[in-house]
Amino acid sequence: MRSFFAVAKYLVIALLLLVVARLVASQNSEQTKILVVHSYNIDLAWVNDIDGGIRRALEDTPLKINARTYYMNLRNHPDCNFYKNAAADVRFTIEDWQPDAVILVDDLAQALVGFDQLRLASGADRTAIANVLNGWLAGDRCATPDLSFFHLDDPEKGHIPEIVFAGVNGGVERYGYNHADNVSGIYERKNYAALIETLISLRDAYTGEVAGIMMLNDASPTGQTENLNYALEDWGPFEAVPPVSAITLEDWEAAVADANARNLMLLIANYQNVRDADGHLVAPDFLIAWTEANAKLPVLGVNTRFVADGGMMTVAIAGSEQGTVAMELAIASLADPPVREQRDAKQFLIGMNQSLVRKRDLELPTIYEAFSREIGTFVEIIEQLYVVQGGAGQ
Amino acid sequence: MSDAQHSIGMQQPDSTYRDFIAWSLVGLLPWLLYLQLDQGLPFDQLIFLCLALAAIVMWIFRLTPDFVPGLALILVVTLLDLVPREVAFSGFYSQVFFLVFGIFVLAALLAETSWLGRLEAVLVRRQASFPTRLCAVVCAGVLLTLVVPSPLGRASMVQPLVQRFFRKGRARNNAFLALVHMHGTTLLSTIILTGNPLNFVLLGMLDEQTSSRFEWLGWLQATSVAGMVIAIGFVAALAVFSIATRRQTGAAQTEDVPGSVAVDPVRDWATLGLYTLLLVAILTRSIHQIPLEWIVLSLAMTVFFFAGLTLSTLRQRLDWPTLIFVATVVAWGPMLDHLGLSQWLANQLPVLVPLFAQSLHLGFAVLMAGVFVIRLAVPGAPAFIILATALLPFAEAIGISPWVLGFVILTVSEGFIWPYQHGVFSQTVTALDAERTDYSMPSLIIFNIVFFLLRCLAVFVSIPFWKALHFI
Repeated sequence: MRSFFAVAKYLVIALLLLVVARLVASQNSEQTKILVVHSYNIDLAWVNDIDGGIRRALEDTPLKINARTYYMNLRNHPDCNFYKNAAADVRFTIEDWQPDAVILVDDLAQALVGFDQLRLASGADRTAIANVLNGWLAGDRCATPDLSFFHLDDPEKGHIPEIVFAGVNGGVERYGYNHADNVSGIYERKNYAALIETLISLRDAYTGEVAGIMMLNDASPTGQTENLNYALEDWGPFEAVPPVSAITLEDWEAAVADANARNLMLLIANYQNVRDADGHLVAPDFLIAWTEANAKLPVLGVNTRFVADGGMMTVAIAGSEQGTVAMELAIASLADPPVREQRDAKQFLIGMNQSLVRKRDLELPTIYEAFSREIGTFVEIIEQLYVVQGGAGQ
Repeated sequence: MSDAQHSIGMQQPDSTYRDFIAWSLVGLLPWLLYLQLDQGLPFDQLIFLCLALAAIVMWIFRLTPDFVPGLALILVVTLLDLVPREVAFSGFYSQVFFLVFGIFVLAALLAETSWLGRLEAVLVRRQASFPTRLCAVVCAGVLLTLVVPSPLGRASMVQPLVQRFFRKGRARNNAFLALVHMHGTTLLSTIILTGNPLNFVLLGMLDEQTSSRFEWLGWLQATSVAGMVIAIGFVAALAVFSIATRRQTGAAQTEDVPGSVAVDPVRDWATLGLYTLLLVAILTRSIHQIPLEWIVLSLAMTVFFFAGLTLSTLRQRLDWPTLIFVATVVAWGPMLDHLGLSQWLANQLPVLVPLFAQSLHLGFAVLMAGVFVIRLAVPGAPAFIILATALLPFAEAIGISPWVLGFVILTVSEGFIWPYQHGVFSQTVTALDAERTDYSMPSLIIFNIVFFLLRCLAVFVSIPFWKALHFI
């Protein structure tokens, strides 16, 4: 009798364990897995803004979502071998974890990860797209390698997740997304109307001659895309002279001197990948502070971090919106039936350093100051000031 | 980790003078560091570095059990408000902590079983030949590497299998046995994740996106080439040594049948069942997607549900000091990150960057030489912590996987040549001396050098493989 109870006791324990195991298994199977892949790392304010937006979207959804984040850190290692290794690491994570959706942030992640995970239409010329991407990724970092180097020759054949892009400046045709049926996302196209309005305000406030505008960026893939988009845009009433991609500090200084000589206002979006004579990356805050001190005409940033790095004024796309919308789109793409949308950015940020505005003796519309007073962060000498203006469409 | 256990109760009897000097250095060296860096670093960073140096000196001189300096450090940095409590004590709720705890519970259960006793009984009953006995020792050592994360613990468990074969007057033969015993239980300790607590420390030092790549099977995949090189080298070295000592090992021995082993077949088979479950869970992770630490912890809980371990056994068998040691050490990375010291440390080694840029082989060779030199003076665990703390941020700078650097440091620092360098070797020598067994120390030293070089070779041979896996 005693041994019967001993056995029975263990049977009850085993049964309880089975129940718990079943609960855990059902919890796991109910979870939606979403992988967020950033091209860069958390040392960029932009990345943190996007993560903040993603967190907000996750808090707002009633669904059980298991989100993981991967930072490819490509800005700090702009070389082909690191690109290849980082991409392989993300591929491993996707194959191992099998996420239902993958949110890819910024251009490099689209090329290195997204292109591999597409469900392409039967008529799409995958090899042609791969060749273009291969050359773009190699850039001037390495001789154009074989297609297999960046794993562009061998698409994922098993589990294909939903792809959601964010932080893409130009089009997504380069990545073959227009031929795929598992893609949605949000563009980071600049708010050109707002930029032109701000440029006009700056021109009107500036007492000297303004002959036109010039975009100055580093030579990173994102910087080059910015330059390409700038060249395609109608900047009327301004004359837009051809943009400059500065590889070195020397290039950068020459471009600023050129803008001074030609009375051009500079537009700056990407500046984290400029190298000094020793090949080291120039600190962004040093570069922008130097530019602000040496540019004759007002300089307008097109980057969330621009004012914090020592710039006078910026009009940038809100990273938080990119994150929130990307997560919402990822959730929508997993609904039944799936909803796949491609949206444009609707929110932008205005940043302004009041002390630098005064230093240049500019009389800007009081709306900028009013915004900052509204959120109670206005000080005479301010390092970082961002105001979100919702609903300003393209 | 052999050293953590080794340190406890291993104080030299006449160590008062040495201890006085060592404790003085614990105060003096951080003070000198403070004076040296006074102008160069913010106060918080400087104080942390001084405290960390004090802990390192305590480790080097083995002044306290290994977990004490680590715990003291996080206590003081919390009291001084240098680092938030959540960061300083993050090791205690990290995944690694639960993984190590679970593995230790399973290992404690294994130590309670009679499988090794049964093996010994079979070997004696069948009058097993010398090669069979050797084979059994090696196999037991390797199998235990899979499940017992302590080289010293494994060596102690296998000890009875070799003990009976030591013979008076056969110094080289005995040295051969000692070698098989020592290296059979230690050579693969970094190849398998669960073979060494420092492996868990490395795992805990990696960021989340990297560490998930190196859970059990991922770790084994990454170390597989190194493991094969070490295994082949080990077998080859044994073959050479066995030919050299063949004449001495021929005679069959009459042996006493060992005293009856206390056998609890239910416990034995249940333990085996649990390990089978663990293996199945590891192999099917892509299906269930449950992290390894939760699986191991669940199995550990199952042990208690089924009364597999009593409280007194748990107190006796579970390696609490090493568990606390691991928890305190894995917080070093987050603490350095919080204080902004990771980049500062990476910048202190500018000479390594061009070396690695010029040639990976050269970079690794210099790194391994550095580890060897440091290991001449510093015990394995502190050496690994010092080097990993300083060098893992550096991996980021040169764009290679921090795991690769960590693994190289770990594998080389786990090598040993002289008894004072490793707990298993010093324990073996102490046991041989206590039993008045003849053995040839020069033979042991020579083969230790061979096995040390074998570890270095394994790293070099692995480089193309790691490239293929996109780690470098």
